[in-house]
Amino acid sequence: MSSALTQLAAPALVGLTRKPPAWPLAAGGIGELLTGMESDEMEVRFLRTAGVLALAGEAGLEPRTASEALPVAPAEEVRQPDTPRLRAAAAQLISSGPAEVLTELLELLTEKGLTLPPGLLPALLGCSTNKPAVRSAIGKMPGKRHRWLASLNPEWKAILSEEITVAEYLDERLWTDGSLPKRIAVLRQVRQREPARARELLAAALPKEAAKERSEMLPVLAAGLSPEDAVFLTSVLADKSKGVRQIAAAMLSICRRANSPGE
Amino acid sequence: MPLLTVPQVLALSPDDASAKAARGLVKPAKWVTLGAAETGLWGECQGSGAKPYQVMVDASGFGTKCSCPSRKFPCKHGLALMLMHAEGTGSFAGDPPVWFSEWLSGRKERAEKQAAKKEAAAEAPPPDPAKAAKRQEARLDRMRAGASWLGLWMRDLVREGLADLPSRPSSFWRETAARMVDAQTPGLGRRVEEMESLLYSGTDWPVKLLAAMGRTQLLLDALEKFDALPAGLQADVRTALGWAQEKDAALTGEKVEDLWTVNAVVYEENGPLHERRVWLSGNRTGRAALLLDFSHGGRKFEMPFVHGTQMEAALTYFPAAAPLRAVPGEMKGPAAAAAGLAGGGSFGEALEGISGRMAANPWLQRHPVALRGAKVRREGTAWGMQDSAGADVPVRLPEAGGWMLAAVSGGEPVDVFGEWAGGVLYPLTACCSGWISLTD
Repeated sequence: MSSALTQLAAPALVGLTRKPPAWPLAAGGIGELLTGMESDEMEVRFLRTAGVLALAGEAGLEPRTASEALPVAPAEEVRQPDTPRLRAAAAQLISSGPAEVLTELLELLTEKGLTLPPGLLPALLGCSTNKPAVRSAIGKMPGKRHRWLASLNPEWKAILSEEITVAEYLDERLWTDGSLPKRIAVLRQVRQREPARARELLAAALPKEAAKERSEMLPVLAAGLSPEDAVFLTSVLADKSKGVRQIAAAMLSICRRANSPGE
Repeated sequence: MPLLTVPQVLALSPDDASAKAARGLVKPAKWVTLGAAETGLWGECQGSGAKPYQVMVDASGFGTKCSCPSRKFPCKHGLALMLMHAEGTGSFAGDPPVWFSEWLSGRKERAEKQAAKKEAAAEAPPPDPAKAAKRQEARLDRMRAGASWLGLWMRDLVREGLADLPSRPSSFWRETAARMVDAQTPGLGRRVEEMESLLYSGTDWPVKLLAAMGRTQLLLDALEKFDALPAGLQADVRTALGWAQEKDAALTGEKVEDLWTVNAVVYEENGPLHERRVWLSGNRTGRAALLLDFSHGGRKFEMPFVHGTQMEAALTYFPAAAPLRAVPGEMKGPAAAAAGLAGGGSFGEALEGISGRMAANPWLQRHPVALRGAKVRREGTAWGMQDSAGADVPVRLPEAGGWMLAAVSGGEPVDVFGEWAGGVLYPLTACCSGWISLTD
């Protein structure tokens, strides 16, 4: 609303008989328009002036620079099932249950490494606030979009409560400069979603760490050990610390067993 | 048949009950036959009787017909048939049965006859110009009397002061509004109702109320000078006063052929009166158009429209200083899925368009706005938006719509369409690898 209009509001509130208006001095086109609209009656002139200022205020609106937009969500690498039928079934389960079947569907998708399409996530997160089983199933779902979305809504943050928030997961500084427990938590998160990346982070970091740090960080790899970890673990067998070497050897034997299930 | 998505089909539903009932029929076992071709969909749905219902959907414009006794339009069977096709449930045969082909050709014939009739009516001279002019003058007199009474009422208010208005009973406003309806100026009645609602709009209500009164005064001034106004502006003043334009009035208006994209469809309920606004944008001309329809006692509209579709058609604009409202003419081909929003740009560009239209018709209350590459943002507990140039867009985005937009866009730029009213954008649809409705 224009400031000239705001100035007219005071006399309008108490009444023109009590407080005659100070007529705005407008230059240019608006001034000409106002001069052409004068009337013998003060009230008519007053209303016309207000009308012209209101219109000019809206028609002459200038865009202001906005403050920050939302942080951009990390790129989604996890696939979504894109059959309209599954979407419809999921939407139906989210809106009217039963929750047990919804939980089962989420678990099935997670097993196959799939996540739900983004359009269904607000409803899914919304329905999970009073359904612990659904909430826990969402917590295990792969993908980043639902975590990003939940991190924006205080009511949905509970889904992430046992985990590090997405922002932290993405924050490299937490990994490089964080406290040991925080760094281990970051590494766990990374290991859960991108096992190879966790191994690479660890391989780059270990040579610079003290023995205590090394012995506490290395066991994070125990989650989801695979033959792909063998080369790295073999290199750790040459570690200066006996404790670290023992951990590496123990994990390596698990790796090898996983590699040859027949033996 | 273009593939309508499930949300698009549900947007065609006349009410929630129909959508829910249709869901229950999305089972191949309920259908004796199912079929789909370029021209449309058909199927036979087993109801409670011995003979299954024959359900038909016309691909050009999504008109439906069903042999069931329901008065809903489309009925649950028509919706279910479209849902099955959208979801890929059941197997659809490709050979249309006679009853479907006959219905389609009958429909086409009727549409052609109607178009011919319209054209003939447009060419025919008005029945009796002298009589029509006399009728118009009589109505204008009644409207002028009502307007001059409202002028006095507003002058009294500013003379005595607005301060005690919040303590007045609602009847104070209701009676004035009713008086305007009696004077055949329901448009002024709506303005009075809006003035009352402004009392509860926040601490700056006196400024907003004064603005609304001032703009109403300009409308009263225009009515006083009605005879001296150019024809287009006369039509705008009539519309603003609530003198409904006959659809025949559009016959003399400008005709524009284009590929029209349906950017959004809005339904509004006011008591038993249902209003539908279909916002179109021409892909070649860049023109915006509004199809405004009313229906009494339910959502029953002659032609169905869904956001995210497009059709080759001729529209005729109602005469106006800045033509926006139009009536659809004959469809030139089947409706198809639209890849994205038509038209649009930055917020600054949208404001320029709004200013231009406001200068031509200061009483226009809704403007179409399409933003390209806009981003959502959170302002405390409300949703905000910024345009591609980083400008702040004042929006009123409902909670659910905002979360939907955030989820689908992931904070990346999206195209958004909405209605601009009273200095605020009401976002309706968005486009980002598919169409989403923000008002569900």
